[in-house]
Amino acid sequence: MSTNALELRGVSRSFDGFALRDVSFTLPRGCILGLVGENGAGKSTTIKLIMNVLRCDRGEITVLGCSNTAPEFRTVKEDIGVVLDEACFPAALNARQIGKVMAGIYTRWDDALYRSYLQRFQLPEKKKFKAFSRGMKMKLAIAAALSHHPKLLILDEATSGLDPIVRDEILEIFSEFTRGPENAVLISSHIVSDLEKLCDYIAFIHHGQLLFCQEKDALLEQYGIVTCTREQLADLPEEAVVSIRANPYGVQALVERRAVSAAFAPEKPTMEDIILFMVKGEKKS
Amino acid sequence: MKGLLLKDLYVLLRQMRLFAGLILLLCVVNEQLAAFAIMYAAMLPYTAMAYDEQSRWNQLAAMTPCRPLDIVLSKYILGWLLMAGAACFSVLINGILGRLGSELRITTVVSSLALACICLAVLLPVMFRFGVEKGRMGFILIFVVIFTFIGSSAQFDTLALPLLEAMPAALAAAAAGISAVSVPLAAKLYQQKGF
Repeated sequence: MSTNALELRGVSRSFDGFALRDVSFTLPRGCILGLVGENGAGKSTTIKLIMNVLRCDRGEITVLGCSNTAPEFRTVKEDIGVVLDEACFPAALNARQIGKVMAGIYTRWDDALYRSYLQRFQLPEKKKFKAFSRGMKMKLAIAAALSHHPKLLILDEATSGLDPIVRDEILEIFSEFTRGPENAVLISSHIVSDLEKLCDYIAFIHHGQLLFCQEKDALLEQYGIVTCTREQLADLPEEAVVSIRANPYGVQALVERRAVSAAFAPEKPTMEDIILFMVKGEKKS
Repeated sequence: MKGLLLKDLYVLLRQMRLFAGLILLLCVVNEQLAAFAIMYAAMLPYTAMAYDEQSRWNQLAAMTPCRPLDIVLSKYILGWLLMAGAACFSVLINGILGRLGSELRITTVVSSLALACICLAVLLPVMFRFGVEKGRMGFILIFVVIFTFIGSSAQFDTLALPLLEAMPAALAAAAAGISAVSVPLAAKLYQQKGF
């Protein structure tokens, strides 16, 4: 059995006006990988390519040890739970009916587990889906995704538009899911703070290119932010400076910690800082 | 497949109750209107597809173990089941009213079923490829052609009805043949559409 839940190697796909180029990353079993990027970066496209909803122009994708273009991938989909940015259930159905529909789709559907999630999330069984709030809809989608005992959970912007309390509840559920050593989560979001709380790995996609995919803790240890004047900036080793952002009070530089002296007192960045520097910053000239 | 059919039946529950009432009314008014009831049943899969598009269900379905063929075939099966249900219900009502055999022949019902299957087989690939909104134009076109051919109720009695009564086997064979081509075509067009 493969130790990785997900492997992408050199995945590329072109459209009119957009191209996903040479994306490669690995999600080990038992881990959570956050796929972060701005709107239109290619996160949803990557997920569609993983699930073979779209075909790659180039590259290979292996999900739970199976190529996603193999006929057997249909069986592997039984082990994958998916939550999209909107819960795509017909408005006229209620939670109980949705459970019966999903039971007819997934062979390992566990109705008792589904009903326990409905109780835990306080979702009414007989209320029509169209009357649910956005938070309730996402909780129902998550309940449905978890109730066929998946090994891989794929979440595409599942927490967008939710209030902080509901987001926190949902992130706790995902965290619980990965306590199973075989379980893995791929979560895409542009809310970097959510991913920073939850994820073991962060992959950053920008304009269709993967800028990095690294262990979150290693990433946060690798970089630091130095705040200084323009004159002091010249004292920083050139090879250490990743990116610079100017503000009215001076300059901030994203630096490789190991390459700068402790005298510069680099501050620990957040994931959001790292991403903003990489996207919006300038290279030192 | 079972889950997909169940979803559509749940979605159409309200329409089906209204439809049952409509069949009853049509059959009481004129036994020949059973043919129209069957044609109306052929339209219900398009309503189910419209609800799918509205809720973006197909995006989620593409991520499940359902194959494109399953998603497509479920709409055909839904149509066939609803048409067969409408036909049986019409025959039952006309039987109760004592009109079966004299005013309404089984051959007319079979021919109407076959014609409705042909309409379904022609239109579903269009709906799957272009969506329900654009596909409805094709539906309207077919109805215009049918009604132009049928013309007045007098022409229905003198022209269309004898044709329906004379050709049930031929129409049924045509329906089977066209459906056999239509299903894989619709599956291919649906897969090409992407999400």
